[in-house]
Amino acid sequence: MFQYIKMRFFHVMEFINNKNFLSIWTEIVYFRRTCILLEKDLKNFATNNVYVQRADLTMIEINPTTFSENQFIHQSKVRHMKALRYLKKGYSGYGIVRNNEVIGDIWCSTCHKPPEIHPDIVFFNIKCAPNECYLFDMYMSPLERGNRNIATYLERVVMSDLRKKGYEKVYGYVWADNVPALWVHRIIKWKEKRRLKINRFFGFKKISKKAIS
Amino acid sequence: MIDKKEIRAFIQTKIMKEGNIDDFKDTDSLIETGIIDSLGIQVLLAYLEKTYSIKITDEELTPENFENIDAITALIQLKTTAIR
Repeated sequence: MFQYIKMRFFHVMEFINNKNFLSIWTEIVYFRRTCILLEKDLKNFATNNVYVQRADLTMIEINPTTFSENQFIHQSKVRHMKALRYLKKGYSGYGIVRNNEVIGDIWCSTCHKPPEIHPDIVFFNIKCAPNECYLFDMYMSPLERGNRNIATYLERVVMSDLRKKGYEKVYGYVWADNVPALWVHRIIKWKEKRRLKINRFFGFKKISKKAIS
Repeated sequence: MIDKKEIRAFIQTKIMKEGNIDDFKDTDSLIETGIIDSLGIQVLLAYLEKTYSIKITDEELTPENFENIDAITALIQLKTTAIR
């Protein structure tokens, strides 16, 4: 619990440092914010040469082994803490690395594997099969954002790897007002399944009854 | 009248970075060449909305509408015509 509070504290501080104090409120209190539920069929996803190789970057899987051996350092302290938390929950992650430093990451939860499935899967009532998974919490270091489509590169490589592992579909969501994230998802051609209106007041989150589809 | 040169000049001065291509045609893909990335689209969107007093919705934020200068111009033309 202490670790969780500590992580949240650093998260807020990092958010304020990167943006401003008021912007934190738009993330924890909102009314009828539009959320787009996404899915991407990987069956026809080309696993080779779908992206331009980036010589300066390496893609790693974040698992308990790579994490515990401290092979890579997260550029962001919060992401390091989050990685620790996510690994404990049984999620798997992918990181994009430059000079042994993780500059961006994304996480994946299956819908059936213990110990825990991601709460969004329940919240959004996503019905996914054992060979499908939920991608969430993509992060890119502020210094790297806009660096020659690095976020698109990250997602494409992850999808390619998931396809190689036998996954056939991935799910996710994006806020309609998050222009950079929306752009990345549209470039990759995620299928937009539903649009929902979400209300949130601090820790309480609810799908508006007047949700749009 | 939408001035393609102005949009092009904005992209060249405010969005294109070192290492990107020096010049491009109105029909060249701004996406495939990596000129417009996730941060670039945010900057471009803000510029277009302010300059032409329009609101581009999230539904209009598609790769097709921002594929090249011609496509962007067509979108702005459509939006400004709709306002009038």
